[in-house]
Amino acid sequence: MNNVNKYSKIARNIAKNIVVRPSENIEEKIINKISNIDESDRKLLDEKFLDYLRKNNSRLYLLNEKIKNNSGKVAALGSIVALLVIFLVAVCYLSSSENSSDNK
Amino acid sequence: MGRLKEKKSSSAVDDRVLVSKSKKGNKVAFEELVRRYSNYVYTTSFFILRNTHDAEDASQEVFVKVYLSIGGFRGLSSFKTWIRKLTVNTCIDKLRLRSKASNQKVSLDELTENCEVVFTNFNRNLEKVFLDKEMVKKVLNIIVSLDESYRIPLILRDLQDYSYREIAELTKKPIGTVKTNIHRARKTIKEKLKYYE
Repeated sequence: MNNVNKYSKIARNIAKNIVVRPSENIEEKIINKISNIDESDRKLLDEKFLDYLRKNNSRLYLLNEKIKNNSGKVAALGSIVALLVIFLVAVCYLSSSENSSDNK
Repeated sequence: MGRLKEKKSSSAVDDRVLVSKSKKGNKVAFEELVRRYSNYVYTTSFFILRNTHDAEDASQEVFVKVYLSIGGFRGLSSFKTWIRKLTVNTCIDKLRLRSKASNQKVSLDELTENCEVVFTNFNRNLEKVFLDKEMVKKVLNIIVSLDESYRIPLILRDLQDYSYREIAELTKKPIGTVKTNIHRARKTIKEKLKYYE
Protein backbone atom coordinates (compact mmCIF):
# COMPACT_ATOMS: atom_id res chain seq x y z
CA MET A 1 0.00 0.00 0.00
CA ASN A 2 2.91 2.34 0.81
CA ASN A 3 4.34 1.67 -2.63
CA VAL A 4 0.99 2.45 -4.24
CA ASN A 5 0.82 5.74 -2.35
CA LYS A 6 4.34 6.61 -3.45
CA TYR A 7 3.76 5.62 -7.09
CA SER A 8 0.49 7.50 -7.23
CA LYS A 9 2.05 10.68 -5.84
CA ILE A 10 5.16 10.52 -8.04
CA ALA A 11 3.14 9.65 -11.14
CA ARG A 12 0.83 12.62 -10.54
CA ASN A 13 3.91 14.84 -10.23
CA ILE A 14 5.41 13.52 -13.47
CA ALA A 15 2.07 13.91 -15.20
CA LYS A 16 2.50 17.70 -14.79
CA ASN A 17 5.24 17.55 -17.41
CA ILE A 18 3.36 15.48 -19.93
CA VAL A 19 2.55 16.99 -23.27
CA VAL A 20 -0.10 15.63 -25.59
CA ARG A 21 0.77 16.37 -29.21
CA PRO A 22 -2.13 16.19 -31.64
CA SER A 23 -1.58 14.49 -34.99
CA GLU A 24 -2.34 17.68 -36.87
CA ASN A 25 -0.15 20.74 -36.47
CA ILE A 26 -1.95 22.79 -33.85
CA GLU A 27 0.56 25.66 -34.04
CA GLU A 28 -0.11 26.31 -37.70
CA LYS A 29 -3.87 26.15 -37.13
CA ILE A 30 -3.61 28.74 -34.33
CA ILE A 31 -1.33 30.98 -36.38
CA ASN A 32 -3.77 30.75 -39.30
CA LYS A 33 -6.65 31.56 -36.97
CA ILE A 34 -5.01 34.70 -35.58
CA SER A 35 -4.18 35.81 -39.10
CA ASN A 36 -7.86 35.67 -40.01
CA ILE A 37 -9.64 37.13 -37.02
CA ASP A 38 -13.19 38.24 -37.75
CA GLU A 39 -15.89 40.10 -35.87
CA SER A 40 -17.24 36.94 -34.20
CA ASP A 41 -13.81 36.31 -32.65
CA ARG A 42 -13.84 39.74 -31.07
CA LYS A 43 -17.01 38.71 -29.22
CA LEU A 44 -14.82 36.29 -27.23
CA LEU A 45 -13.65 39.31 -25.24
CA ASP A 46 -16.89 39.35 -23.28
CA GLU A 47 -17.54 40.95 -19.89
CA LYS A 48 -16.32 37.87 -18.03
CA PHE A 49 -13.01 37.87 -19.86
CA LEU A 50 -12.52 41.62 -19.41
CA ASP A 51 -13.17 41.17 -15.70
CA TYR A 52 -10.50 38.46 -15.59
CA LEU A 53 -8.06 40.76 -17.41
CA ARG A 54 -8.85 43.65 -15.05
CA LYS A 55 -8.28 41.48 -11.98
CA ASN A 56 -5.01 40.13 -13.33
CA ASN A 57 -3.78 43.66 -13.87
CA SER A 58 -4.44 44.66 -10.27
CA ARG A 59 -1.57 44.28 -7.78
CA LEU A 60 -4.02 44.53 -4.89
CA TYR A 61 -6.18 41.71 -6.27
CA LEU A 62 -3.18 39.45 -6.92
CA LEU A 63 -1.78 40.11 -3.42
CA ASN A 64 -5.19 39.40 -1.90
CA GLU A 65 -5.38 36.12 -3.88
CA LYS A 66 -1.88 35.15 -2.73
CA ILE A 67 -2.84 35.76 0.91
CA LYS A 68 -6.11 33.85 0.55
CA ASN A 69 -4.36 30.91 -1.13
CA ASN A 70 -1.71 30.77 1.57
CA SER A 71 -3.85 31.65 4.57
CA GLY A 72 -2.13 28.98 6.71
CA LYS A 73 1.33 30.35 6.01
CA VAL A 74 0.14 33.93 6.58
CA ALA A 75 -1.44 32.93 9.92
CA ALA A 76 1.75 31.11 10.97
CA LEU A 77 3.89 34.11 10.01
CA GLY A 78 1.50 36.44 11.87
CA SER A 79 1.73 34.27 14.99
CA ILE A 80 5.54 34.26 14.85
CA VAL A 81 5.64 38.04 14.47
CA ALA A 82 3.14 38.47 17.34
CA LEU A 83 5.19 36.16 19.59
CA LEU A 84 8.37 38.04 18.68
CA VAL A 85 6.74 41.37 19.53
CA ILE A 86 5.49 39.99 22.88
CA PHE A 87 8.96 38.63 23.61
CA LEU A 88 10.64 41.96 22.79
CA VAL A 89 8.11 43.92 24.89
CA ALA A 90 8.69 41.53 27.81
CA VAL A 91 12.47 41.86 27.49
CA CYS A 92 12.23 45.66 27.37
CA TYR A 93 9.87 45.69 30.36
CA LEU A 94 12.11 43.41 32.40
CA SER A 95 15.27 45.35 31.59
CA SER A 96 13.60 48.68 32.43
CA SER A 97 12.26 47.33 35.75
CA GLU A 98 15.75 45.99 36.58
CA ASN A 99 17.24 49.41 35.83
CA SER A 100 14.71 51.19 38.04
CA SER A 101 15.35 48.77 40.95
CA ASP A 102 19.12 49.32 40.53
CA ASN A 103 18.61 53.11 40.69
CA LYS A 104 16.64 52.75 43.92
CA MET B 1 20.68 22.68 -10.95
CA GLY B 2 22.41 25.94 -11.81
CA ARG B 3 21.96 25.27 -15.50
CA LEU B 4 18.28 24.50 -14.95
CA LYS B 5 17.85 27.77 -13.08
CA GLU B 6 19.68 29.62 -15.84
CA LYS B 7 17.54 27.96 -18.51
CA LYS B 8 14.39 28.75 -16.56
CA SER B 9 15.27 32.42 -16.07
CA SER B 10 16.38 32.86 -19.69
CA SER B 11 13.07 31.37 -20.86
CA ALA B 12 11.20 33.74 -18.53
CA VAL B 13 13.16 36.71 -19.89
CA ASP B 14 12.46 35.59 -23.44
CA ASP B 15 8.75 35.41 -22.64
CA ARG B 16 8.77 38.97 -21.37
CA VAL B 17 10.61 40.16 -24.47
CA LEU B 18 8.20 38.29 -26.73
CA VAL B 19 5.19 39.65 -24.86
CA SER B 20 6.57 43.17 -25.05
CA LYS B 21 7.19 42.84 -28.81
CA SER B 22 3.75 41.28 -29.31
CA LYS B 23 2.18 44.25 -27.50
CA LYS B 24 3.76 46.50 -30.12
CA GLY B 25 2.13 44.43 -32.85
CA ASN B 26 5.10 42.19 -33.74
CA LYS B 27 3.38 39.15 -35.22
CA VAL B 28 6.57 37.07 -35.42
CA ALA B 29 7.03 37.44 -31.65
CA PHE B 30 3.45 36.37 -31.05
CA GLU B 31 3.90 33.36 -33.32
CA GLU B 32 6.88 32.36 -31.20
CA LEU B 33 4.65 32.53 -28.11
CA VAL B 34 2.17 30.28 -29.94
CA ARG B 35 4.94 27.78 -30.74
CA ARG B 36 6.12 27.85 -27.15
CA TYR B 37 2.76 27.39 -25.47
CA SER B 38 0.40 25.72 -27.96
CA ASN B 39 1.20 22.19 -26.76
CA TYR B 40 0.85 23.24 -23.14
CA VAL B 41 -2.53 24.86 -23.79
CA TYR B 42 -3.67 21.88 -25.88
CA THR B 43 -2.61 19.35 -23.20
CA THR B 44 -4.42 21.24 -20.44
CA SER B 45 -7.54 21.52 -22.59
CA PHE B 46 -7.29 17.88 -23.59
CA PHE B 47 -7.25 16.56 -20.02
CA ILE B 48 -10.17 18.77 -18.97
CA LEU B 49 -12.36 18.31 -22.06
CA ARG B 50 -11.30 14.73 -22.98
CA ASN B 51 -11.95 15.38 -26.65
CA THR B 52 -9.38 16.21 -29.34
CA HIS B 53 -11.70 18.49 -31.34
CA ASP B 54 -12.87 20.40 -28.28
CA ALA B 55 -9.26 20.72 -27.07
CA GLU B 56 -8.29 22.13 -30.46
CA ASP B 57 -11.19 24.61 -30.41
CA ALA B 58 -10.35 25.67 -26.87
CA SER B 59 -6.66 26.15 -27.78
CA GLN B 60 -7.58 28.36 -30.73
CA GLU B 61 -10.02 30.33 -28.59
CA VAL B 62 -7.39 30.88 -25.88
CA PHE B 63 -4.82 32.21 -28.35
CA VAL B 64 -7.37 34.45 -30.07
CA LYS B 65 -8.23 35.94 -26.66
CA VAL B 66 -4.52 36.36 -25.86
CA TYR B 67 -3.83 37.95 -29.26
CA LEU B 68 -6.69 40.42 -28.94
CA SER B 69 -5.94 41.38 -25.35
CA ILE B 70 -2.16 41.17 -25.05
CA GLY B 71 -1.98 44.96 -25.20
CA GLY B 72 -3.80 45.07 -21.86
CA PHE B 73 -1.56 42.48 -20.17
CA ARG B 74 0.57 44.31 -17.57
CA GLY B 75 2.79 41.36 -16.79
CA LEU B 76 2.19 41.29 -13.02
CA SER B 77 2.15 37.49 -13.27
CA SER B 78 4.18 35.42 -15.72
CA PHE B 79 2.82 34.86 -19.21
CA LYS B 80 2.60 31.13 -18.47
CA THR B 81 0.45 31.73 -15.36
CA TRP B 82 -1.78 34.09 -17.32
CA ILE B 83 -2.30 31.69 -20.21
CA ARG B 84 -2.76 28.72 -17.85
CA LYS B 85 -5.58 30.44 -15.97
CA LEU B 86 -7.12 31.61 -19.22
CA THR B 87 -7.04 28.05 -20.59
CA VAL B 88 -8.60 26.55 -17.48
CA ASN B 89 -11.33 29.23 -17.41
CA THR B 90 -12.10 28.70 -21.10
CA CYS B 91 -12.28 24.91 -20.70
CA ILE B 92 -14.47 25.08 -17.58
CA ASP B 93 -16.86 27.38 -19.46
CA LYS B 94 -16.96 24.94 -22.38
CA LEU B 95 -17.57 22.06 -19.99
CA ARG B 96 -20.56 23.89 -18.46
CA LEU B 97 -22.09 24.29 -21.91
CA ARG B 98 -21.77 20.59 -22.63
CA SER B 99 -24.58 18.19 -21.91
CA LYS B 100 -24.35 15.65 -19.12
CA ALA B 101 -24.40 12.94 -21.76
CA SER B 102 -20.87 13.81 -22.79
CA ASN B 103 -19.63 12.81 -19.34
CA GLN B 104 -19.15 9.25 -20.51
CA LYS B 105 -16.40 6.77 -19.70
CA VAL B 106 -13.32 7.09 -21.91
CA SER B 107 -9.82 5.70 -21.82
CA LEU B 108 -6.50 7.44 -22.43
CA ASP B 109 -5.66 4.98 -25.26
CA GLU B 110 -8.93 5.84 -26.96
CA LEU B 111 -8.30 9.55 -26.46
CA THR B 112 -4.69 9.49 -27.58
CA GLU B 113 -5.37 7.41 -30.67
CA ASN B 114 -4.50 10.36 -32.88
CA CYS B 115 -2.06 12.01 -30.47
CA GLU B 116 1.37 11.42 -29.06
CA VAL B 117 1.97 11.50 -25.29
CA VAL B 118 5.41 13.02 -24.68
CA PHE B 119 7.25 13.09 -21.37
CA THR B 120 9.21 16.27 -20.71
CA ASN B 121 11.64 16.67 -17.77
CA PHE B 122 11.45 12.94 -17.04
CA ASN B 123 13.77 12.29 -14.10
CA ARG B 124 15.91 9.21 -14.66
CA ASN B 125 16.26 8.60 -10.90
CA LEU B 126 12.58 7.89 -10.63
CA GLU B 127 13.05 4.86 -12.81
CA LYS B 128 15.27 3.43 -10.09
CA VAL B 129 12.25 3.14 -7.83
CA PHE B 130 10.58 0.96 -10.45
CA LEU B 131 8.38 3.74 -11.62
CA ASP B 132 8.32 3.81 -15.39
CA LYS B 133 6.47 5.78 -17.97
CA GLU B 134 3.87 3.04 -18.22
CA MET B 135 2.95 3.62 -14.58
CA VAL B 136 2.43 7.34 -15.26
CA LYS B 137 0.27 6.45 -18.25
CA LYS B 138 -1.76 4.11 -16.05
CA VAL B 139 -2.33 6.92 -13.56
CA LEU B 140 -3.31 9.27 -16.40
CA ASN B 141 -5.59 6.61 -17.78
CA ILE B 142 -7.35 6.36 -14.42
CA ILE B 143 -7.56 10.18 -14.17
CA VAL B 144 -9.18 10.63 -17.60
CA SER B 145 -11.68 7.87 -16.88
CA LEU B 146 -12.83 9.53 -13.63
CA ASP B 147 -16.21 11.16 -13.34
CA GLU B 148 -16.17 14.91 -14.08
CA SER B 149 -16.84 15.90 -10.46
CA TYR B 150 -13.65 14.06 -9.41
CA ARG B 151 -11.53 14.55 -12.52
CA ILE B 152 -11.67 18.36 -12.79
CA PRO B 153 -10.76 19.17 -9.15
CA LEU B 154 -7.98 16.54 -9.23
CA ILE B 155 -6.48 17.90 -12.48
CA LEU B 156 -6.64 21.47 -11.19
CA ARG B 157 -5.09 20.54 -7.85
CA ASP B 158 -2.44 17.98 -8.84
CA LEU B 159 -1.56 18.93 -12.40
CA GLN B 160 -2.23 22.66 -12.37
CA ASP B 161 -1.34 23.53 -8.74
CA TYR B 162 -4.59 25.40 -8.02
CA SER B 163 -5.53 25.99 -4.38
CA TYR B 164 -8.67 24.35 -2.95
CA ARG B 165 -10.24 27.81 -2.68
CA GLU B 166 -9.59 28.60 -6.35
CA ILE B 167 -11.02 25.23 -7.42
CA ALA B 168 -14.11 25.83 -5.30
CA GLU B 169 -14.61 29.23 -6.97
CA LEU B 170 -14.08 27.84 -10.47
CA THR B 171 -16.29 24.80 -10.10
CA LYS B 172 -18.85 26.71 -8.01
CA LYS B 173 -18.80 24.04 -5.30
CA PRO B 174 -18.21 24.34 -1.55
CA ILE B 175 -14.57 23.96 -0.53
CA GLY B 176 -15.43 20.92 1.61
CA THR B 177 -16.94 19.13 -1.42
CA VAL B 178 -13.84 19.94 -3.47
CA LYS B 179 -11.55 18.48 -0.79
CA THR B 180 -13.71 15.36 -0.46
CA ASN B 181 -13.82 14.83 -4.23
CA ILE B 182 -10.05 15.20 -4.56
CA HIS B 183 -9.53 12.77 -1.68
CA ARG B 184 -11.90 10.26 -3.30
CA ALA B 185 -10.24 10.67 -6.70
CA ARG B 186 -6.80 9.98 -5.19
CA LYS B 187 -8.23 6.99 -3.34
CA THR B 188 -9.69 5.63 -6.60
CA ILE B 189 -6.28 5.99 -8.29
CA LYS B 190 -4.59 4.11 -5.44
CA GLU B 191 -7.21 1.37 -5.46
CA LYS B 192 -6.96 0.89 -9.21
CA LEU B 193 -3.15 0.95 -9.09
CA LYS B 194 -3.20 -1.96 -6.62
CA TYR B 195 -4.21 -4.23 -9.50
CA TYR B 196 -1.05 -3.29 -11.37
CA GLU B 197 1.27 -3.96 -8.40
